[in-house]
Amino acid sequence: MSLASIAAPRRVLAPVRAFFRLPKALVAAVVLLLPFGLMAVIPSVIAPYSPYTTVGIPLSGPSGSNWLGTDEIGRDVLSRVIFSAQSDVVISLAATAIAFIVGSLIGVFLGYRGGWVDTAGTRIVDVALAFPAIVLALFLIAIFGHGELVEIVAIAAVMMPSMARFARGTSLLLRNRAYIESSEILRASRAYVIRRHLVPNALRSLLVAASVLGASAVLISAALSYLGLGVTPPTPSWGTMLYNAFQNVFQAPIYGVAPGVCITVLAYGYMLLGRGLGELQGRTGRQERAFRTSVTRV
Amino acid sequence: MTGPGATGLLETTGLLEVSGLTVDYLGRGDAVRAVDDVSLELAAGGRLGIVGESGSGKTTLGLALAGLLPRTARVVSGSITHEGKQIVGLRERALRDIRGKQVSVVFQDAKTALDPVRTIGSQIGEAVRAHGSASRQEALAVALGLLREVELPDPENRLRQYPHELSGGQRQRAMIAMALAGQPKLLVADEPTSALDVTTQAKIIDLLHRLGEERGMATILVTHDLGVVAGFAETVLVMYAGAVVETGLVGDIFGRPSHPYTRALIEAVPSLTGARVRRLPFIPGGLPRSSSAAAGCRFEPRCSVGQGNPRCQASEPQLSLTSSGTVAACYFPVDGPLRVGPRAGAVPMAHLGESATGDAAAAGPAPVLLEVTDVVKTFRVTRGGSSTVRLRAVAGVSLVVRKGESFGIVGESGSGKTTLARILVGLESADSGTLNFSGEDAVAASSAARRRRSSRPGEIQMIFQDPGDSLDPLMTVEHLIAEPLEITRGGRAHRYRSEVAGALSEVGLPEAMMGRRASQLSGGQRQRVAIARALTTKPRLLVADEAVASLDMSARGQVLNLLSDVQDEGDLTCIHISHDLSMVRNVCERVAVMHAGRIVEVADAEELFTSPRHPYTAGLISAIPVPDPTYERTRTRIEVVGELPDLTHRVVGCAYRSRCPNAQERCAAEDPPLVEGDPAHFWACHYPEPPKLELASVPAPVTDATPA
Amino acid sequence: MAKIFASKLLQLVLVLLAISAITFFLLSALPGNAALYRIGPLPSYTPQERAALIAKLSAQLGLNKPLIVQYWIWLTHAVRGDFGLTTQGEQVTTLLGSSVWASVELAIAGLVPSLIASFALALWAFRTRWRRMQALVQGIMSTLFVIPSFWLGFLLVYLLAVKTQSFPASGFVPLAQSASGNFSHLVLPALTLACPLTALFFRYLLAGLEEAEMGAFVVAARAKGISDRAVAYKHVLPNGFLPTITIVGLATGSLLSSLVIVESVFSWPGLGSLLVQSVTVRDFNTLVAIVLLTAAVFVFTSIVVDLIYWFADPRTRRPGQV
Repeated sequence: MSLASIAAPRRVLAPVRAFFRLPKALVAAVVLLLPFGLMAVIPSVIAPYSPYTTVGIPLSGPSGSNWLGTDEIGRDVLSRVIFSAQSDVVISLAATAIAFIVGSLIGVFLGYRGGWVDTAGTRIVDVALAFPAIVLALFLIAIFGHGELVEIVAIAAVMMPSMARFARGTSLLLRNRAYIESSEILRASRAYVIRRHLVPNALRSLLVAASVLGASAVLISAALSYLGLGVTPPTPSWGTMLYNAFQNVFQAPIYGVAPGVCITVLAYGYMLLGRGLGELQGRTGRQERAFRTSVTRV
Repeated sequence: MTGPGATGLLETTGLLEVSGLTVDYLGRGDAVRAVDDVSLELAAGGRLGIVGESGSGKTTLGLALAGLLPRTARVVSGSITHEGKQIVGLRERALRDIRGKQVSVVFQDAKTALDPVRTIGSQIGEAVRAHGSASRQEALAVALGLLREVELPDPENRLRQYPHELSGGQRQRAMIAMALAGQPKLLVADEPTSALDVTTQAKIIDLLHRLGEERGMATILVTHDLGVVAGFAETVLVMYAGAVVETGLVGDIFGRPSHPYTRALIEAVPSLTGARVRRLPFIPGGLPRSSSAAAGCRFEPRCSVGQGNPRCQASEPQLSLTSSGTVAACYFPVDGPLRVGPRAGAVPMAHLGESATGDAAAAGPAPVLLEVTDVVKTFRVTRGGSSTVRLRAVAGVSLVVRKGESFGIVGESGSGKTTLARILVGLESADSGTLNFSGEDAVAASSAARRRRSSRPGEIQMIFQDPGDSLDPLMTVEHLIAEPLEITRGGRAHRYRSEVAGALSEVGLPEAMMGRRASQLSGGQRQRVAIARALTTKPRLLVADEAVASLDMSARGQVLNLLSDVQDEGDLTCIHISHDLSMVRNVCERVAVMHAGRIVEVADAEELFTSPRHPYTAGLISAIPVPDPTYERTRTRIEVVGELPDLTHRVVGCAYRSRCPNAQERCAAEDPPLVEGDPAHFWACHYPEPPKLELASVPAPVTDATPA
Repeated sequence: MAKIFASKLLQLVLVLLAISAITFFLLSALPGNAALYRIGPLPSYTPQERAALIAKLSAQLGLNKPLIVQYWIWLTHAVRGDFGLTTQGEQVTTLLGSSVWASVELAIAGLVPSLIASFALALWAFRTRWRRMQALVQGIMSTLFVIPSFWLGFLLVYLLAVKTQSFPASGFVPLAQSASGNFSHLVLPALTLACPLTALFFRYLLAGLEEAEMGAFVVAARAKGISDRAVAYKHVLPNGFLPTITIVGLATGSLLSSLVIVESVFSWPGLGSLLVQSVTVRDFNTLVAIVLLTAAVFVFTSIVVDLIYWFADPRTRRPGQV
């Protein structure tokens, strides 16, 4: 047994082992989110049928050919659930990304800038927050019509104020740190300080907040579909499926289980992702803390 | 195990007996040993001082004595007995019986140690009712009595107030009252004065002293401040890295310490009454990283006596009686008096660095680098979320700093010194006044005006107090040091590799450190990186705002000496902002004293400390604890009454008069101007102290031949 | 104190103005004659009558005038309580009035139990030593937090209305008509509303308690020799629940969003259902009125939150040392 042959399998297993050494929440999140990723990207590969064709008697229960039964038109529920991921996952991801980036930048800037800009900006954000979430989304959709893009923008608009507020709070906490003042003494520009110091140091808690946003995005988007304001049928979406399931709750109760589970699990996955990312960065924080306790007063 | 009792040092009537105590903190996987085989004894009414730096285990020991160890801590072995009753291994319910009744604790920071949402009266009342069955009314009455006992002014009203409405000193008194509620036989005070001003500290220590005597209560004072221990304790326990390294009577410990660590620690305290020493002694190195240390003496790697010695490396020395009367854990205990310190003469010793007392030779005064004229800064502060008041932080300050000088600005909290520092550096904008830097035309002290000036950024740099805060935790040392250059000259960090390497060597750090992050460095190393950072822009003025206040006593010297070296080599002027007068006395050539936003006295260091004219300066100096037990017990104190005046109100007349023993009618009407009473010695007082005030007799220097 | 109150009231008015303006201008972005929308389809009119009415109304409403003026006209009407007509021809205020009470009833039925349950559970979770159970409860809470309310409603209906027939699946019985009927219809929607709220409050409260426990005053309290129970209830709780107040306020202020779904699922005739209806039929007068009402509730809630803080945290009440 040469050294090389002992080393080889270890090298292959190394990334796997490294993956599992990550914080539990992160691992769990990836495990939960991976199937959704697959469903969103290659649904036709996974799903047994097309989501649009009738394949059986409407509202029949689970059977060998239709694991989750059929919907009110006779389409395969399982396939429709899988294809829904395309819109639901994409919409929630896109909306979260927009709300996160725009909201964080606005919030961090406001918190750092201070002065009248901050006061005015915060007032605006407060007014936006006073607007109930669903209402704003409903409004925008009523005005601009249905469609994926409108939905994404609407959901992003709804989530942005709370992200901005949170980012501002984090920024306020950090701006008095001496390393930022150290750069200010050298007359560094505000943009520099935000880019180089504020955002990187705030990122950990911002990401945790973003994960909560992600979960909200999923829930809001599903709610909109439920109310008939999301993607237009016959495009499948979990929310609309739940609506239809509810209409037929007495006849085919199983219909509504899968879409609901998907929504819940996806939302939960986002939250775990945030917690895991926080713990990842927190790992170094723990090291730091452990180091500190070993040399500070005990 | 041997302890003071066993060797007959003390007559013990056995109030407290600790034997072989070992405490671990359990983490994820590994356990950290906080207290290692500690033994001690204390008689009823006795006063013990436990001294140590960070990581010494003193706080854990203090908590353990009170049965207050957190759930993450485990007593691995040993015993603690209060009047014969064992408390190790007791269940929570039984421990509750002794807490507050047998032994009570006073904590460091009363701001966080008092419940912010409950009134003082209810909290003290709770302590009273914890043992015994008093009603709420009765408990309040007892609380009132306790507040009187701790000399808290206006006690009836205080009962109804909340902690945030009291000042720091008042809160600490309230906390002491709370600790006394159960009539404890033993009081453990964990750094009770570290968060307080030195004038308040002196009063609190006096209070503890008096309470102990009046109540027949034993006191254990846990602290890092050697001066405080010297004045307060009867017996002393010196701890290092969890173990006792020396213990004995206070006179012996400070007079003829045997253990090299004890000696180095005492020598590291900048002298207030002895000769001035420009380069301060320090203990190089840091605490051992892992708790499961090597076999030998834990102090050996840093020990001036035993470093590298095979015997010291082979096994841990046990506590044994030394010739000076103390009990020390050392194979080579040192005999003889201290070389540096309040009783010593200025004898230069090699490993301590030279002690240069001479100020700059008279080649004529150096040119003026910075002239500050009438700077005023007022803040708008919101109180209680509704009203805003104006706080005059800096109320007309004028200063002259000369090139190459080491200038000290001292004052207590609220004196305005930090605000002034921030104005000098450009972080704050003054409301009025001018700054004249390096002969340029005077410029308004607002930051906007200064930015309009062409003076290059980085000419004035700052070292901050908290090294953990002043370095971006995400950046590597290389990036940290290169950043000022990136900001002022543009480009990316790798362009400045050579400059970074140069800066690192200038501050005595290895080049290998470039890839590390701040979290991997010790406090002293971080501060040195901060200095390297500041020096890259070739500043002409460096403002050090409490640069060493967060470092251990034994590490301060290294950073301060570095600053002195850098100053001597280059063309650098340094302003030290500090509340630590002893440090400033040694390190600075010229010192200004601030109170309530004004300069009250400016003079050369030597002159200021031998002949302070302003009553506040005299009061401050007399309040500073000195690690010399005899001195501490015989010195006379100049009183500084009460607390800082309320800076939100416009002050008519002298701002110090409410605290001044010399105050008279004239002081209430006229604000005394800063005048040059003696050559190069300015003060602002109508009734200054007489010159060459003798604060206390300083004993003649002790030579090697005579015993202490 | 009165000064703060006055300024908050002013804030309320300003926010309402801002929101009404935004809403108004958003609507004006729509194509078509605004008079058309304002009047609605009015099915009982003939086309000619309708056209005449539109023309008259357009002139009357000053639709040829600049937008600002139109807003002003609307505003002056609104301040007097005249929010116009719905598409059915009713007075908006009448329609709103009948829906509001149903929503209020449901909101209270959801909020109050959730507050009680979350506090009880959080305190238990904080103090218990039973690790497994605590983890289980926390897991359940996390799930409840992300579960979509319409699915939760679906499950509850399935389990409690379909399978076991213990509660009706939907509908509403006014209190005036029958108290027991009202109650039995209230249970499922209230439960659906309460579960995510409980999960939310639980999370924040538990986090707040754990944060407060790390304070130095907790060790100091233990040092007095008082029981763990006393430490938890007299020191940790009063400090730890403060951040939760803000969250409860926020949740209450934005309750409408949750109500929209729950009322839809259970055919509960409250503001939420009305809102969805209005959107579907483009009844903008009603929409604007509902939005304003919601915003008012939001700002009002924040005032109440500030008031509660004033009582709970003495640091806001009395200024400390500067």
